[in-house]
Amino acid sequence: MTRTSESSTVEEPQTTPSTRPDANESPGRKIWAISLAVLAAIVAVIPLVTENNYYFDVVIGILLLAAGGSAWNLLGGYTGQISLGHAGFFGLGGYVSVLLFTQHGVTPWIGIPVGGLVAGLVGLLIGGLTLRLRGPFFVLATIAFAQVLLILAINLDDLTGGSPGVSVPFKAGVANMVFDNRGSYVWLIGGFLVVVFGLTAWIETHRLGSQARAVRESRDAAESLGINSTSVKLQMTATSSALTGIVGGLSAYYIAFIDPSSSFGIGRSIDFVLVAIIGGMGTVWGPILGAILIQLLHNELSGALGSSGAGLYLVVYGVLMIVVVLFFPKGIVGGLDIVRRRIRTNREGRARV
Amino acid sequence: MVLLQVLVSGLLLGGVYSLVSVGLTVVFGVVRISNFAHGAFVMLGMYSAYWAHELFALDPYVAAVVIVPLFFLLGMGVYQLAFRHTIGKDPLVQIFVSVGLLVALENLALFLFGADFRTVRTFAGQTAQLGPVNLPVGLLIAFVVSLAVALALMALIQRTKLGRATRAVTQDRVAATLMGVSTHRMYSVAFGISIACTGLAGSLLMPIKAVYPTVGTQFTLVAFVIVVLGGMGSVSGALIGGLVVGLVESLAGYYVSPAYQQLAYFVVFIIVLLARPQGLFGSAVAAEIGEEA
Amino acid sequence: MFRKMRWGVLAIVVAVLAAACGGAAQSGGSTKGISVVNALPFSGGLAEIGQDMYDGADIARQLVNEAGGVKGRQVTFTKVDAPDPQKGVTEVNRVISQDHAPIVFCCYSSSIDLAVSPVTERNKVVMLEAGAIAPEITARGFKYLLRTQSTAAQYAGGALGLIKDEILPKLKMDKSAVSIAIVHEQGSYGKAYAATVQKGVEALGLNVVANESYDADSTDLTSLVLSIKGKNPTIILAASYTNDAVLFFDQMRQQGLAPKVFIGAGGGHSNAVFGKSEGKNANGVFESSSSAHVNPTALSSDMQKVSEEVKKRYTALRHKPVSNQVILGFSGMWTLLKYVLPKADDPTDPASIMKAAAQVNEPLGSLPNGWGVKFDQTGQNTLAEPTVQQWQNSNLVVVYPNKVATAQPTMVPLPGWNQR
Repeated sequence: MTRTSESSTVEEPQTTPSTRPDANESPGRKIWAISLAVLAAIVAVIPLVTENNYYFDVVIGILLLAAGGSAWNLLGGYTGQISLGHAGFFGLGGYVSVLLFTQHGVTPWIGIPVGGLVAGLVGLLIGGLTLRLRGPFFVLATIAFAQVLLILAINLDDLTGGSPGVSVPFKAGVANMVFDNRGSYVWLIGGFLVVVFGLTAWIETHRLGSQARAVRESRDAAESLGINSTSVKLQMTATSSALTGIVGGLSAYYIAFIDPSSSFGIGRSIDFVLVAIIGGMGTVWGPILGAILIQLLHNELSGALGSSGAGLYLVVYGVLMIVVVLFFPKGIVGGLDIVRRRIRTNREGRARV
Repeated sequence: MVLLQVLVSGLLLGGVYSLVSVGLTVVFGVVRISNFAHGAFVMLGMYSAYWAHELFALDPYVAAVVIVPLFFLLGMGVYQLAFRHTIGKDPLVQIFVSVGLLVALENLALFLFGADFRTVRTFAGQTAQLGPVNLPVGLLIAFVVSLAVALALMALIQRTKLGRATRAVTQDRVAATLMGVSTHRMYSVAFGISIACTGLAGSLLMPIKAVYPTVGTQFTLVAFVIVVLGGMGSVSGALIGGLVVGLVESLAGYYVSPAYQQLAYFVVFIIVLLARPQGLFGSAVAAEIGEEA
Repeated sequence: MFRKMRWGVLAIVVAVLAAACGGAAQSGGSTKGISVVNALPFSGGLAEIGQDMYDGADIARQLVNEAGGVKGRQVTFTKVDAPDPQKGVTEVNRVISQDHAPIVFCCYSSSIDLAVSPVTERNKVVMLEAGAIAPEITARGFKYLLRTQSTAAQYAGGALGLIKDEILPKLKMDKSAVSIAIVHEQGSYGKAYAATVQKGVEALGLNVVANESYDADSTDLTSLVLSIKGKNPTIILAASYTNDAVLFFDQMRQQGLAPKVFIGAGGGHSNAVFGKSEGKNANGVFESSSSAHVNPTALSSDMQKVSEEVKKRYTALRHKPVSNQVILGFSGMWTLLKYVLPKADDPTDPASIMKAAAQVNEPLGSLPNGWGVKFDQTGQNTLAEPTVQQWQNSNLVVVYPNKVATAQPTMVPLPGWNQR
């Protein structure tokens, strides 16, 4: 599949997003091992080179977006099931971990994985019900799922504290996952991103990844090759939703606060998809590059234009979103591929001369 | 007696919902695009009616005569400028062009008009009595117009050449293209009709509802629910779907709790989606892209 | 064509990013002035209120700067958009680190405040809240938090006092016959108010027949109106934003729900658009919060002049009368710049500012809404006494408590619809 797309035209590529090293060759795996080490090194070094809390906050914002986008990418990018309801998993993970701590004193080191587990199980359930839906039907079902959770979180006050939200008590300590030094959050959340990255790269280079891509291109063709498409989709859904739930927990502990509308709101789902699509869906690096671009763009726009008229920076942001999506439908990774290919053809051209 | 009032109020609310949804379903059926900026155009329609009233002292119902054709052109413009370039691309590209449009439009309104809540009051604020039932005039007018628009659109699609071409595109795009239907022109007209509907909806909502930059968001999700319930691309489905959602919301608000009004229709939506993904009434579009075989 | 344009577009995006970075880098804080961050919801659903609060605060800044500033130092503002908890946290983090501002004026919404205040607390930066009423905000033992605004309990106190002192005597009904319905939007503001007011009315020995929440963005509230109508309450207590205040009241009229008394709680019922939309039908409606129009005799002589000036400047700026939120924003900033900072040894040092705040003791009448300033240990202003206004002849006038009132409460019980 990946080989054929190399020969297809740039302008109208098939639905395969980009060229990648063949899934079963070991050089591919080696490249990913190196990438993983590079990413881990970057994350490890950041808190050592700066103490500026703003930079930490921007970096953590990027890490959370990148992790959420990568988690979404497993289902949306690799498997082709477009969910706009991942805020549901994000909020579930966040609420489970925070409420376990505030009401039962369970440390977030246990609470956050439990939150991820709950989100994964719910994802499995929702997936079992909705994965046979296609296109817009699946999209809308996932939106409805997150909306239902939003309304419940607002109205089940006794359980969730309702719309005012729940604060995580500010008691610094490793056991509470509350750190005085924000650099620790970079390591914590960055470490998680490295795990997600590694997992994505593993899936990309192993059978599950190629099966998922086959299911995405054509379910019937995949089935005829003996792939159990339902099982593949469910595996990817469970992984994707569980990871998103963990992102929700980490985010809640970083901000030390959780509330229904910013956890379960559709804006959250859109953010995760946006970084994946801007970066390049179905690619390992895509969501990370997308998160960097989106976070910087948003922050810098609001910093520069935030005081020059309400809403102006968001007008520019919206227009840029349209323009970038229109001109780079394959995202940054797709754009880089075009550059790489052009350089190669130039070189080949010269060689022939 | 209360039940009667609850039912009537639900139907009237449903009329407003239908009016907003009809436009969405047309674009969905013909162009296959999920336009998440649909509600933002309703907001623009409301602001247009508001300014027509403030600057030229036009009643919103009169202003609609000007607003609807202008919004038709606006719709065609938006298609040519933005959505035209998404045809044939990944559905996510289409969704995110519309999300970008939503963000830009909402905040453009905020930038230009500020966040103030603005209202227009006319005779439409009065209430008519029909036996024991209270009928708010503004809602009643919106309901009647909504029925008329749906019927007119259905007639347009059934009777005219344009409509036949639209239907052909809705039902089978490849065949329609082979038969020489110019898809871009068709899509452009569909967007024109869709956005014209939001202009009309905005004009009809202005006398009964305050306008502010984010007013459209509450319509977008409900309109999608209705479009799916009614069978994507089906005008009659959107009409009936709107009435059903209005009724569900009204009944749940009264008999369960106002806090769970929206929950009720999302639950109904999910159930219908799982049990009958082609919508309550089915449609060619749903059959094409709906459940996997 | 698309392929060629791609790189142009990329260049534009990069240019915007670069320009934005450059612009942001230049906006560092000056060492001579005193820099205050205004983090309010300037976009999204609460944008109208955020702008009002900011306009009020900015008028306070102008007045102080024109009079020579704080200890001779001019006050400068930085504006950041905090439309929801998450963005509020990011933006406040950004501006604290970049500008090293010692004070953040934030957030109006209780949810945003609860998320942002841990950031200011961790960074040991003063957070000044002039809008949010949730009791939790000052219940967390924060050391760098000041709230000039009332709590929900104080707001509810206004409505309860009015019921006890004015309404029950005027209704001439047996207590057991008086029934209360509470309707509130489901956000933090509505919930905080509804919970405290319900306890209060029950303590008065009155019967609560309904306490219903709804989504402030609703398109239709007829079901709520009908369900309340079925309970036939004597008094309706409401906590609403603007869209829902107008919608609920419209639909009450359409469905003929006619309580003897209607009391809002700031928010939509104090918004000029409510009076404009409902016309004569608004007359007789009470709202319990704070007021821009207290009796001048209740203000200190200095504050009388200042209050007039604030109204004049605001109307010149926005061509409309001041709202409660404008005055709340003004009062918060005025308290900071006029009452707190001059007492601080170093008006840019948070610890010094908090020490000064603890000493402030300005009597009632020191702020345009008749409030005084005295912070308790939690940072809560204890002299934010609630004021009840009533719509009379399509204007809001202060009717309770007596010492700040400009008119007597009338229209109890409310005349029927279209007879007001």
